[in-house]
Amino acid sequence: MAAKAEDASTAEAVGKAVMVVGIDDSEHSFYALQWTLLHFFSPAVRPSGSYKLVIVTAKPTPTSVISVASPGATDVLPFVESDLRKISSQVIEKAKDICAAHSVLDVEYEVVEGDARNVLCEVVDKHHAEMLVVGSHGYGAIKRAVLGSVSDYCAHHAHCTVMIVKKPKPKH
Amino acid sequence: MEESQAPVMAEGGGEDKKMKVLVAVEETEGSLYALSWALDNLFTSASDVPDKTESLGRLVLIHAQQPLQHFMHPVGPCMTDPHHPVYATSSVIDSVRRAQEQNSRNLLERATQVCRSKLVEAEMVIVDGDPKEMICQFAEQMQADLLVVGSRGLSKIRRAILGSVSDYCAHHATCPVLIVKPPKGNHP
Repeated sequence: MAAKAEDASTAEAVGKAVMVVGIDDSEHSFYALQWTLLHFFSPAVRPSGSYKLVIVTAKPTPTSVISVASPGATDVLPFVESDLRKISSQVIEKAKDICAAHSVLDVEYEVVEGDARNVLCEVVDKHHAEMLVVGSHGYGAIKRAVLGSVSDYCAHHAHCTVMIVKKPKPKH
Repeated sequence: MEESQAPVMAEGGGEDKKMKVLVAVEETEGSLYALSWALDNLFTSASDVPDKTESLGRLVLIHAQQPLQHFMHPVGPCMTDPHHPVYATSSVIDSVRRAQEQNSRNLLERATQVCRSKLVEAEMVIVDGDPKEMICQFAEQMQADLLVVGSRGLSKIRRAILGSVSDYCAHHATCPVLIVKPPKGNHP
């Protein structure tokens, strides 16, 4: 009986389309998350809540952040690693707060190590997601020059619909 | 930070969740698929209302026509003076324009049918000009909440041209952009 109940709940979970939201510690991605919750998960719009939400943040590898190979580099690695881990967990905590504020409860949170571009596409494939949401300029200042193209990469390579949410520029 | 962001996002109560959605419609299978995807996923509601748009927002379909070339390159003996291209006669322009308008109308007719079959009323807009710029401009003008474009729905030759509409919009639109990919296994 317990197995049957489990099957039923998995079947229910499978029936829901999955939406993956990629976030990092930038304002843009939290804006994107809030926008998504507002327009896709509010009770007024979706009374049955027909998307399952997966929020993922990519944690860069410490070696990818330190690009200069210097004698002291290996000593710094553990500190960088714990910093990165702290940032990622703060990001997830904030995401949890935002979801709670919008009364969205059926959420899965993932921290995946690696480059954001690959991580997001992999998570999409893993969950067979229907939709991927990313902010624009969704990466920290260090890599923004290179990874302003995270949204680009995902728009081209993700195997699902991609939504790029931009923070509106303030009108002067 | 959330406090300062909240007033920007949620102006008003529950009713303001309606979305103004602009869907770019082109003569591609990918584009019509994008439209039906948008209809399925953005305009669904628990109840079966006769007109779902009322409760769920506004759907606008935009089709951009390429501007007509009013001159043609001379291919005959009049190549003596390259600075004076041969201008097409007005009758030729007219018939080309009419054919183009007929094309656009057929396309939008098909799009309307797709909308109607999903119980959504859509407004149609036809604009002249470079598709990517016009679409982004119009999205800004109508203060769209979401711009939906298809992607990669074309043969390789046109992909270089039109694949860049979704790219351009992704970069230049001021509103969120939804890029719908054709399902795997579909032939462009």
